[in-house]
Amino acid sequence: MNLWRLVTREIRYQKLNFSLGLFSVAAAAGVLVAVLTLLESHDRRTQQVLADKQARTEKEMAGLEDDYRQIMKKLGFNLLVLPTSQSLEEYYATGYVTEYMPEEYARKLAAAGLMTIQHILPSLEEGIAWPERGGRQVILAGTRGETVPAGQAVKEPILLPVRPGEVVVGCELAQSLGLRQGDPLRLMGRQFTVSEVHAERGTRDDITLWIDLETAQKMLDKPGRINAILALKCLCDGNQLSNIRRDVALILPGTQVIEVDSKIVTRAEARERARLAAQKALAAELDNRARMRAELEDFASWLSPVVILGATLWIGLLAYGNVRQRRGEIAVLRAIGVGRGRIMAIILAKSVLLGVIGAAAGYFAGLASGLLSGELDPTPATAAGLFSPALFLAVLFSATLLCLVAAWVPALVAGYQDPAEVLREE
Amino acid sequence: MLILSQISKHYRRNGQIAVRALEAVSLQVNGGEFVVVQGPSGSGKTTLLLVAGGLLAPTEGRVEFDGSDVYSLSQRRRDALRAGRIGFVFQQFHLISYLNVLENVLAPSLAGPEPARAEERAQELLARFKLTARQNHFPAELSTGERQRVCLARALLNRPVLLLADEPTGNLDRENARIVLDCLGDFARSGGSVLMATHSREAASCGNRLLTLEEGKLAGPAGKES
Repeated sequence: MNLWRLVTREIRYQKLNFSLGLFSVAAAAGVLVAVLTLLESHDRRTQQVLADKQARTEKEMAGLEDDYRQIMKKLGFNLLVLPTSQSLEEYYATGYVTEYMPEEYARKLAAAGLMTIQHILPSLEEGIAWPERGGRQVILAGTRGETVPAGQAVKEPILLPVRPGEVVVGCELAQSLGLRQGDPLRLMGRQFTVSEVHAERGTRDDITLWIDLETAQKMLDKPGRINAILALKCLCDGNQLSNIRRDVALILPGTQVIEVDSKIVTRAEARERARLAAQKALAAELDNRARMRAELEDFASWLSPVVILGATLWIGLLAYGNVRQRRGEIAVLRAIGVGRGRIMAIILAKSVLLGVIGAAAGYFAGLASGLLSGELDPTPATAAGLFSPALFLAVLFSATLLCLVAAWVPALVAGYQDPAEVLREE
Repeated sequence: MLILSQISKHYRRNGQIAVRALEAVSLQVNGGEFVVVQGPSGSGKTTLLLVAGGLLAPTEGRVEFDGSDVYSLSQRRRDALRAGRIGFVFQQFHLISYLNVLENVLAPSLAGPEPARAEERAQELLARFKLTARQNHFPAELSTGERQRVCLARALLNRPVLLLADEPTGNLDRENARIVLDCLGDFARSGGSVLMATHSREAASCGNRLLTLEEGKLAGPAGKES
């Protein structure tokens, strides 16, 4: 005969007493684990929701960014690098640039590889009287395509270069002069072929003739000179004009940078506002879920102690009732020489079993109920993910400790019971 | 072996002596002796056995067992003394209801000195008391005589040298009473000591020394040591 045999026999005999104790331990452990599982599942769901929203927002923003990049490209260049000597007052009044700078500047700017500006296009532009057309005022623009650092190819250029001997004609000029693609055109004594007619833009582009830069430099007697560098402001952080000016000034001293189209800025700002709104929505969702979690925590903060305290008292009462019921048995065991410590161990061993079995049952019941009433899909994989060996051991240990504490006084009563008194009574 | 010297035991209530259960009782039980204490109910027989068994400290007097003052021993040593040297037989049997016959007989091995060989000894006792066939039965399934035999087997498990029997035949029919008394007699003849309390004249006749306890005092010629 050993202690565990005695304890297990008694448990088998007093099934109801043990079952009631077991139920209360399992209920206490179950409530605790269910609440913790709910909190854990809430946290995981929050992470999922946020990750989904973040990914969706990022995707939408990437789409928006791409849309705006395309739009901006379609809208054309939005930055103009001019010589410092150019009076902006004059430029804004006339629409012409009258000062010049070396063509080399475009190559230097491209070679610098600034992140804030892209699609660098050197340009020489002057208003001229078209001698072959009765002195009609037109704008002659010489371009040679976008400048890229040596060894790199131009990717998706905004503007295709005009080949020597060809001319691109603005809408108004083409319409008024009846010019079409392929028509010959004579300009300042040189022969060109119309390679393209632009659609109406409603700007001075409608009265512009584009030819290749080198030819234009010769015709205007400005060899190696340009009067503007057109560029596209990038859609990125830190693309404020002041930053761009600072960057360009470091590379091209003696130049100034102006923005030429506020519509682009407005759209970029709209995109930024959309990004901020998305971030705000994300923060609001996070806030909402944090509030839900706090409510759950509040609920758990009073429910768990009540259930645990109740279970401890109940187990203590059951243990005391059990000891009272077993007075005769305890007296006989004491009479045949079983010591006080061993009698206490018999009572406490039962409570250890109660704690271990009840906690294990309660843990899995709590995990299951937390899983079923939580926000995650109740799949075996989720259950396996939510199972925490550390929590399981902690619950096992705590429940056993609580059962020992609850049974301590009844065990003392049993150990210090006077066997003579009981045997005399009986 | 067992010497009780001037033992008095008073039960108090509200600070006053309510019952004088034993008054200056002196008694010696030697090895091989079967001593019977006879007396009516309430004469102090059970108290005498409890005091002798180290379960109830006397108000006055001294209990010696194998030369040791029982009540000056620590609780732990007194428990060990009961576990290894003294066997108890009760009128109400006091079997543990959720243990079967074999387990009840083995109960003293919880405290006994040789628990590893206890099962072998238990089987031997079950055979001796013709209980082998009933070893898996629970006390509620046994007859009164069988229960008392289980109680006897339990008392003998740890090979005690002293048996204290409190009205062991009180609830038994004549045949079962005979079995129990024969067993106690055999135990004494084999060198053990028996101190039995009874109010039955027939049971009292089985001892080789008869003492009479009246109102807590060993009275008459039987009260003198022989």
